[in-house]
Amino acid sequence: MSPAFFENLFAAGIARGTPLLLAALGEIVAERSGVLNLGLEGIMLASAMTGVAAAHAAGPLAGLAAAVAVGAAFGLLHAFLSVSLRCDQVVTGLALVFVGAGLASVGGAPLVGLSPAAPHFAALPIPGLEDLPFFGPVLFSHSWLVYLGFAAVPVVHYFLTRTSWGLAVTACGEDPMAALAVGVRVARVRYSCVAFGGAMAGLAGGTLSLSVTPGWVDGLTGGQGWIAVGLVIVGGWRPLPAAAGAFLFGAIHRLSLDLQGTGHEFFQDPNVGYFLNMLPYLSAIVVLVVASVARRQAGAPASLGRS
Amino acid sequence: MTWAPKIVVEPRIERSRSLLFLSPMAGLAAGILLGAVGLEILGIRSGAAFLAILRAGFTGGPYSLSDTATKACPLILCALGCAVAFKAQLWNVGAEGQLLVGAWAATGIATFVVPAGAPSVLMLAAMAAAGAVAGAVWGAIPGLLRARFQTSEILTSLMLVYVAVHWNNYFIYSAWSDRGFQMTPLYPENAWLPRLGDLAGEAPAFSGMTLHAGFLAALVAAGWLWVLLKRTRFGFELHVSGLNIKTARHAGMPVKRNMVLAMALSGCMAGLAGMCEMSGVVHRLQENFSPGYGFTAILVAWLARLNPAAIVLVSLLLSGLLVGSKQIQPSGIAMMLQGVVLTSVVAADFFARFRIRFEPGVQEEA
Amino acid sequence: MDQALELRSIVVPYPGLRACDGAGIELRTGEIHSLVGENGAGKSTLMHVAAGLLRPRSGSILVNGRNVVFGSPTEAQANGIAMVFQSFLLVDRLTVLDNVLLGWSLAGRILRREEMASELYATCSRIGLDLDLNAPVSRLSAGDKQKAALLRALSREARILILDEPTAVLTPAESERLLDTMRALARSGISIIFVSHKLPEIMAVTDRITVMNRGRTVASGVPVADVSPRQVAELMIGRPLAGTTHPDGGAGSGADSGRLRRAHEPETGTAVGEAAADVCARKGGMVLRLRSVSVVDTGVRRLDRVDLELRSGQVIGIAGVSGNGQRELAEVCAGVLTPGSGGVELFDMDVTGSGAASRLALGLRYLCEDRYREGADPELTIEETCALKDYGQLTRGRLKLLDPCGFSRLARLTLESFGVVAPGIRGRTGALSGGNLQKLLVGRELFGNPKVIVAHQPTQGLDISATECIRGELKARAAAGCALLLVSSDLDEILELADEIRVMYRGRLLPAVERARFDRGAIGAMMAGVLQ
Repeated sequence: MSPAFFENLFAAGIARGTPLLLAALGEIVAERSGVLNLGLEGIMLASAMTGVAAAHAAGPLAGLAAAVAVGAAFGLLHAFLSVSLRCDQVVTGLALVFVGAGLASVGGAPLVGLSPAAPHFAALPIPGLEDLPFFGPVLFSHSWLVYLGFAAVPVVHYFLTRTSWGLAVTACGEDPMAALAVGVRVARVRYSCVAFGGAMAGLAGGTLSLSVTPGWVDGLTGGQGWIAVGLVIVGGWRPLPAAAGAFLFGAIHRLSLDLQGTGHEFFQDPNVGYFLNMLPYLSAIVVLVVASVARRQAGAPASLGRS
Repeated sequence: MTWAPKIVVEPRIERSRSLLFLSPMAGLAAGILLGAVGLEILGIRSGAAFLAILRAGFTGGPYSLSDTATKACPLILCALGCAVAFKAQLWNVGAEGQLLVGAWAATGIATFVVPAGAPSVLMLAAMAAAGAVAGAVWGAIPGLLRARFQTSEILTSLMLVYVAVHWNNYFIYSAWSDRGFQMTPLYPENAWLPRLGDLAGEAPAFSGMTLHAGFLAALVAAGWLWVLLKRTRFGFELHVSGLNIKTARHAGMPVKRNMVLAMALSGCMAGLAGMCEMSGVVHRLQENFSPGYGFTAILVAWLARLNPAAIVLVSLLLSGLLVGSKQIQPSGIAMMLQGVVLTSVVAADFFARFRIRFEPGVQEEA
Repeated sequence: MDQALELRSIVVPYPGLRACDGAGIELRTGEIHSLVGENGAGKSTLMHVAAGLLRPRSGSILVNGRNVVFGSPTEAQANGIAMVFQSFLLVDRLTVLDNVLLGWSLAGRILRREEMASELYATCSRIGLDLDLNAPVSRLSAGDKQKAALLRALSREARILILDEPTAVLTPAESERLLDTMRALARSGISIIFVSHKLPEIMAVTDRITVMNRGRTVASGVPVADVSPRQVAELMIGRPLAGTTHPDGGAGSGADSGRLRRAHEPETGTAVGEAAADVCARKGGMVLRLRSVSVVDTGVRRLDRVDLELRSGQVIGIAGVSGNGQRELAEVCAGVLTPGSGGVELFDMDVTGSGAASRLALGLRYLCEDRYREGADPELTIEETCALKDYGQLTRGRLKLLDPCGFSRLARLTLESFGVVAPGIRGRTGALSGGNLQKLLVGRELFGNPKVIVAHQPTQGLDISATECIRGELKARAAAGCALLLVSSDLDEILELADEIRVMYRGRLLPAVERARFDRGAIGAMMAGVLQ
């Protein structure tokens, strides 16, 4: 395995991990305010599909905007059901997965197999930095959405830890009664956070279908929405560990493909391919268990998921 | 100055029985309406679509009823399994994966273990046992991880669905592939569940009907599960743990053991559903034999409020929808409609749990 | 004298009753005004209206003579009203500083933590509070949490301060310090409403008293010099007290006079009850023993090498301020919590690792502190709550299926044993009042004549009649030979019931104090960790 192998792997890991990162960041904010949104998979599917459809009509930027809008709409719906109607957040999240997946499947049918797959965002290497050995191709030769992802991590962190809004969000997720007692409008905060989470999931879907793997096929996300939910737990509800996890999973996704291309006899056996496909999901389980053992769960907002 | 009038939402103290029944009905109606609107937006004539679904699923004569009941069989079994887990607040979202490995295990028994000449009862019993055990193991894994490490069973059971898909694919496309085709060899005769169509000799009306004995098994299972949930100590313990785990612990209930048992039982039912589908309908392992029974089962269990009798009814309703929507393209419509209906029912549940009151403005005291 | 705050004819309905039924209070500037009443009289509800948390059905609020309306706590704060809640309502995971900054517009969009911290430290020294602003609230003692809540209330220029049962979680020494702080604040012009049901403190610090009973104001703004503790107690309970010092039947009379006595005299060894010799005679064999039990939770030693021996017929009272390990002690005894090290023996059998089921099998019953969330669940039916621990016996047939008739029979018997008022056995447990639920739980736990009872805060938050009923029952069981471990932060309760007192402080059980040598002052000092 040459250095080029690792370069490609990490670069692809960062690119593929960006949708995971964006969705996870949005979910971190939503969950920190106390609302569990399990609908990420459905939202990502629906917005990915919408993004492609809109991109065919009016270009990739319009596609991205449409994806974000769809995501925000789903987010608002989830907020309405969870905050105003106080429904069980697990059930409403699952319902949204059904709706989103179904919508994506139905609406995306005419989009499958189109050529070109979708108008998409070309890579945008940063002049100067792209020539750095190793770090150049790995970090600085991606589409602008990846750079957006990089920037989003410190922004979300700063928002949550250094601003009064972030403090209110944390309080709503820990002890909404205490927050109410000092005049924080808990319902309003939660609505905003969940809508933001939905919008980020929409952005993630759009990134997936317009940058990482341009085009639409049924079931494009392949479970990444669920992995994003898991990343929030694994990352202890903090942006930086979640980002690390996202890129790691991006790399694992890519690994199974890359290993088959190395020319190694073991990986050439087609049977091994089936088991390599299981790798991302099995590693997700392992990471979740490790996080539980390491008491990451103790970092959960105390009022998460309670209506 | 006075206090302005305000709309107040407060929880109901007593849950009225009529509302518990009416609110999902209202939600169902609203869901169908919204679904129709959605279809129109996507350019599909909703009226014609619904009529086609109705005809294919219910009103198109005995054949449509047979088809509907056939599709209801795995749905009932999976939903019963989901109900056991949900009762204990364990969200077994991975029933689809448990169904898949159940089908795989049953196929293994039929193709490689029990000889083709053995009595059918023996073969079917062995397949059922294999399917049940495989499903139970697939369900027990998330259960164990939850009991031991508090890992979310939603995420682990779901990840295992994807693992199961790839696991089955290995056997379908490679290890057990029938001469390189994308399926395993056809089951021997003794591995087929008896069907109504088999009675065509005595009753010509039944010829060609696909309804198989698995449906009877599903009904029996529903009865058995009702007894389990309502009349056994285990059922009572699940009921209490589902409401409040601390209370269950204080009462001396074996909470962790029950978590694993409930998830295993849940997976066992889904595994049986997989075996029934193999033995009764498909007769060979292939990809995509399930239109998402395991996921639809979640919806069924929730709509039926975990009541086994209601599960049978709701399963028949939804399988009618599945049968009928095969007629309309594209195929994602069924899933979308299910989602819209579930969302509406969940939203309508609000009215069963809360009461809206209007608080008039407060006048100033003289 | 200006009028700082007045509430008139406040009506707050609650499902099934009126929490406030035309209640009112009138507060003058710079005074300390006590709002007094039994548990459940409606004091907290009235104050929640004043603080902007609750909206009344009718009535009015006047601040400095002006009619005002509060749509939210923020508006109340804008009018200078701040409240320190009984449960503090602080966000545990945040630091003291962040709790104070939460929801405060002056803190800025981008939090100016360092700047605000120095301002707050200045406020602290002005008032005489000693706090570490950067400590997470979860690590603070109850006394420090209260200081944090007080700081939060005062930092927003509050002129009217409402303190809701502030001494409930304090040691006697901390209570004294709080009363001093209150006097200092009042001198500086802040008007204080002091909500309490503890007469000694009230008489010590108040200027005027308002008494509430069943949602109504039965005495308004009476100067404390003009009234005796006995009269206040009578107003609180709503009926005259029997004058005798030794109870002679009739629930309540003994306790009333007991309350009176405690208001004036320190409790000494010759209390009402049996002589010490009788106590010794009751004690039988060893039933429950804890050997060097330790429980560690996130680095904190909740229980520190605890040794305990309980004999049949004996009543051991575990005194101390809540939060020193009482909950962990009770849970270890009951099997709900497994100790990190050490052993638990019940009737000479090692039950250290086994769960609550082992205790039930051996005849130990546990009355836990959290009635609604651990002893039962609001969504369970009353029938199910009654059967919660004994359902294993309610089976029928070879298959051991549950017998619905057995369930209803047990429920009816349980309810009858204590006269629980319930809307039918199929009703929700959550619909029961606190007193009725506790009576049901007591009936449930004592039904099968257990040999050992572990009771944690058995009468907390209950009105006088329920309290007397339950204490009487526990006393009777002890007299009949049952072993009772009574864990309570109510020192009066322990002094009344226990043969032997052990004080719990920072996870350690201090040496026993026999009944003959009960001394309120000394025990209070042990509770504060002064005597080792």
